[in-house]
Formats: sequence, C-alpha cells, structure tokens
Amino acid sequence: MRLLFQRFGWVPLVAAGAILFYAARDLPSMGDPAAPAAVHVSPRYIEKAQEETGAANMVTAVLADYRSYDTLGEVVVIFTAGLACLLVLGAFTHTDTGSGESDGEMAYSFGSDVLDATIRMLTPFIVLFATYVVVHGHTSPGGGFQGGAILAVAVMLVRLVRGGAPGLKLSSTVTLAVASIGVFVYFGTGLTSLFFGRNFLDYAALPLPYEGGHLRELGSLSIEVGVFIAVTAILVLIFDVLTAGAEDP
Amino acid sequence: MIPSLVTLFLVLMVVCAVFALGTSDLLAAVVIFGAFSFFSAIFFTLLGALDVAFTEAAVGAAITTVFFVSAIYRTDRKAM
Repeated sequence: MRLLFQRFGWVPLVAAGAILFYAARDLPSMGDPAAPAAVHVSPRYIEKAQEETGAANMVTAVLADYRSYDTLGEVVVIFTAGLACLLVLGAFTHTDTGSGESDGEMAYSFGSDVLDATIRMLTPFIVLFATYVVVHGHTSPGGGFQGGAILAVAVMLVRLVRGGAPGLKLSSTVTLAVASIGVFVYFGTGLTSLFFGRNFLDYAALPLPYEGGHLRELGSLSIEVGVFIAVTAILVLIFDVLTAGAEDP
Repeated sequence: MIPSLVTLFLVLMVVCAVFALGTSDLLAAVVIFGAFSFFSAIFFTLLGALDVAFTEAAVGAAITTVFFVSAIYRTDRKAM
C-alpha cells in the first residue's frame, strides 16, 4: 500500500494541476478593465480615495481607512499567534525567562569582528527606514505591518550577532505587554470615535483640530502606529521564545 | 511590466519550490525557500503590487527564514 502511494502519488497531483490550469482560463485576464473587480469598487476608490482619506497611496487608504475593521482583525490574529507561540514553546524557556539572565549573554550569538562592524553600520539605517515606511505609508508603499517587520528584523539582527544583552533584552512578559499596547492603540482609536458619537473607527469623529481628509489621515496614522508596535513586539517575542533554549553548537 | 521577466521569475519560483521540496537537508530547504520568497517579491514588484512585495521581502525572505532556522536549530537537521 505504501509502495503504491510512493509510485503513483503524482497522479492526483497532476490531475489537480490540470483541472486548475483548465479553470484558470476562465479568469479575467490581467488588467482587464471589464473584470468584475475593476467595474464596481475600484473606480469609486480611484476617484474618491485621495480627497476622502488624504492618502495618495490607495492601498493604505483601503487598508487603514475603508477596511479598517478588517485590519483590526488581522492585528488581533497576529497577537493571538504570538500568544500561542509563547504558550506552546514557553514551557522550554520557563527556567531562564524573567530575571534569569546569568550574564546577559545569549548562547546563540555568532559574534565576529566583521559581523559586528557591519551591524553597527546597518542598524541605524534599518531603524530609520522602518520609521520612514510607517510615517510615509500614506504617500508611498508601506505601512504599519511592513515597518514593524523591518524594525523586528533590525532587533533580530543585533541579537543574532551580539547576543541578547545589547539587543534590548526584554523578558517575554514585557514584550507581550508592549504588543498589547499596540493592539490597545488600535482599539482605542476606534473607541474614541465611538465615544464621540460616530461609528467604530470612523476617524471623522476624532477630537482633533483638523477637518476632512487631513483628520482621517491622522486617524489612520494612529492605527498604523498601533499596528507597528504590535507587529514589532510580536515578531521579537516569537524570535525570543524560539531561540531562548538554544545552546551553542 | 515586462512579460518575459514575469515568466522568468515565475519559472525561477517553480524551480525553487521543486528543489526546496526535493532536498533532504532542512537547512538547505529553508535557504531555497528564502530565495523563493525573494523571487516572488520581485514578481509582485513587476506586477505593480509594491505593498505586497514589501511585506513578502521583509517577512517571507528575512523573518520566516530566521524562524525556520531557529526551529531547525532546536530539532534535528535531517528530514525523516
């Protein structure tokens, strides 16, 4: 039976591939102006997004403003994923989380002079770029998710090369608390507009001395910052949990 | 958008996927998978989806690779 699977396992695979290729011929061709997605929703966004949300980058306008509730769900999903990683893998790290750092040196570092000099050069630019990606997400590609991922890369890079101590060693409780703050900033923006008598996450209700697109731009910037904090903290948390029990090879 | 470049990167992605599945060394598979993510990021750029390409390059090529390597580090390097 096992031999049968090994010898003829490719048959259903090829059949499924053939069916998918056959079905793909019915899809509208790329950039087709008559495709269903390009007829109803897209023209509305293309015409109104700039004046309504103040965001020149329409992807950000949709993600952070029109479909903000959806993005809130994504952030909560990421938060839950980090929490699950901590609960599943945290059992291995129980002995050395908290204050247990013997001399602050993680056993996982690949220290060498070349790597050290390289990260000293690179890290400031990576952090600066992460900030730029978040703040400039309204006019150019980018946003909270991308900026958070880039900042998390910077932190991981420092930790991989220098060990835990110089790379902002935080216990998993602190990292989780920071992630909660990020999610709270998002919820708080939504609840503030609810408090001032509009719908949840309707930035037009925020009590700031601006109007129209500019006010909505600030509202979506606020939630982008929340996403940024949450994504950075969760990625660093997962990295810490994964590497905490590692020993030197 | 340049059609031949799109085809080139799609073919490279398929080649990377096949080799990542085929190799029995998990660390090699992870590195090839990082290359796959990188090619797909370029592919998204060619299609004009810069936001997606950004995410793919940061998360797929960098962070996922680090997470996989950490996971392999804690377990055995050979596949089965």
